[in-house]
Amino acid sequence: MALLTVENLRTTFRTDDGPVGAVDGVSLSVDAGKVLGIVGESGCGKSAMSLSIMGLLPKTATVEGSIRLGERELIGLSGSELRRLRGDDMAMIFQDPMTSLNPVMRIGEQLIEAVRLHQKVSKVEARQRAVAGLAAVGIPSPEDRMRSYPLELSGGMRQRVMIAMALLNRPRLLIADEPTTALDVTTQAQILELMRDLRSEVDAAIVLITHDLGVVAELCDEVAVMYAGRIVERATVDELFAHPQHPYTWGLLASLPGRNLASERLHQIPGTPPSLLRPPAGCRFAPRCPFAMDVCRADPAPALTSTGRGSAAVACHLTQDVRDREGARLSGEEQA
Amino acid sequence: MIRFLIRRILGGIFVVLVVTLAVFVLFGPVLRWHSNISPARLYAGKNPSPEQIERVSALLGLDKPYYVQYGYTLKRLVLGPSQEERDRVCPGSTAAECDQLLGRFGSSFAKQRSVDSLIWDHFPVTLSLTFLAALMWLLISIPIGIISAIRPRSIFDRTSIVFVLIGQSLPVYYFGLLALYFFAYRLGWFPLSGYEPLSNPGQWLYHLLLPAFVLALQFAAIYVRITRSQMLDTLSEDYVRTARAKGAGETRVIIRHAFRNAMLPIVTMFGLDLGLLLGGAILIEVTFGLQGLGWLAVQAAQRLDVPTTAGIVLFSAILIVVANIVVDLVNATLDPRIRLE
Repeated sequence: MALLTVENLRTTFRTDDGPVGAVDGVSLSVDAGKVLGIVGESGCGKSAMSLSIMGLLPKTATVEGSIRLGERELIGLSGSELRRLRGDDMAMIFQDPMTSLNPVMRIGEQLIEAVRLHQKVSKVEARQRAVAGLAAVGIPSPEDRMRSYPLELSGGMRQRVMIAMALLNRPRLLIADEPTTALDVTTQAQILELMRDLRSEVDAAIVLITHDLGVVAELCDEVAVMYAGRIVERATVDELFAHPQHPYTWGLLASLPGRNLASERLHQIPGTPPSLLRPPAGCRFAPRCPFAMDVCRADPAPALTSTGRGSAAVACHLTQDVRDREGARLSGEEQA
Repeated sequence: MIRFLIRRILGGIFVVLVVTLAVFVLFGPVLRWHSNISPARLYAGKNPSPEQIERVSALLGLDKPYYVQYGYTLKRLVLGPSQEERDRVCPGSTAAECDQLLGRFGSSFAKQRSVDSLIWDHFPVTLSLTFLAALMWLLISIPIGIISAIRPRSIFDRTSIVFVLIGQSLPVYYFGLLALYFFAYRLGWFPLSGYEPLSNPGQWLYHLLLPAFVLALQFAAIYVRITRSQMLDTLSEDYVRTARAKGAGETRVIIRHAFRNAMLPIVTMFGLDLGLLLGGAILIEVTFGLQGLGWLAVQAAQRLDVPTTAGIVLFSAILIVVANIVVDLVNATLDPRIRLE
């Protein structure tokens, strides 16, 4: 049974220039114990979607569609009902650990607060849980660290604290929004390793937001590729790497460093993502797509349709043959 | 932390030294050279003879070279009047009588008293006014600033901006006179002028409420603005989003997470404003007939009472230096980023 089910989610920001549809009809689901990766460039709506699920968007945003946590519909819940779920049933880890912890509060104070907001336990009990939480994410001498201020810890340690804080109340859903992006490479590897270890222990449904297909390959069971507010391809990780179906996914795969050792330059997708204020008609990737046809530039946009291989689906007008051929060429290169 | 404190205190002492030198030069050589005002002549009364002036010069130690005079001024500021000065200025009087006449800040020309005793007489008025006003402006401005920041561009926010503009642009003497006319003269709710010591708290409050309120409104305007902008900045910080993601309620997010960070620059400004005001809120004190330090300074300047004027300037400067050190200490306590750097 899916723990998180999102159906036809639309998130629109009211701006001075008009409404901006950051998320435009996204549907997805994650089972307990599974990790769903959401991949895409900056500004494709990944973060807007995760903040929509958490109910953390500012008042200038409207969220429509359906978000269900287990059986419970989250859209339409009151502020205080959502507040009781946040940090308890669903938790979130943010991108930049340097700025995500309150600089004038001790680590311990922030962790204890997280426990006591949701559990009726004594300060002593909450403190014990916080120390245990720090130990569980591999923070050395957690008792001492409870008294530290964030600025006394490195970025990697701060992200461990953020992860510990998110896991304190054993959430059923964990959303990690680019948890390693702001860290240096060695620290990234450590945090990824920690998340891989925790995966099996916490038994939560995890939504991992990233622009890094390498991270997806390491951690995820399934992937959704997002472009300009829509999901363009959805598959299991193995399937995505073996049979990538969407031209945008091909671009992302080709951009992975270390693929083309022979050529010195990294591949890049030409152009920039479209403005979501006035998105192009039809497929939103068409203006950058080397395979675009006339039909791609006209409404309606291609719908997500099954590729016939398991749960995989793609939103593209190219025929299955073309997609398989081009995809095979790319994954063939990878094997070579 | 101890090293930080010692460094700040040494720095403060240096600033006070520089101020004493500036005050000494301004009220000594510069005054004499620029306006041909000789302190001895001023002290000697109306139409003194040259012999009288010379005698006064010797009595006040003004016949000595400037560097000797400055050296003694400094020494007196730290250690109090020397026995030599006591013997020279008040021979034959008891120690208590002499203490009335001589002090660390020198002696008034206009009154047969030390500047110290004048300052201590008038300082409580300024102190009371400042603290009552400070309490009022914090209580007014911080809630308004916070609510404006939570609901930017709302009717409340726009109204408070108008209030800020009025408060900042109305000169305090004009607004003070208006307040006096309506609330004291026409309505008779408050006295027209004067001060009662704190030993009678009811009367004390009754006399101070209106001037403190007028003073507070002006500062409240500035504090609404800074609270609002600080809160707006802080509310968009990542850690505020983290607090919401933990499931903290809005009140907790705003007070414990956002305001605790937003108040740091407000504390700094508050400390410096207190230091400044304690040196005398001249306009308010004169408008409301409160005989505080500001009022005393105006009186002294009008009577060319050079030692008193110089003494008040120096005293205010010391207050500001002390306020600066206190602000640094408080900030270091509140903000680990300062304490641990």
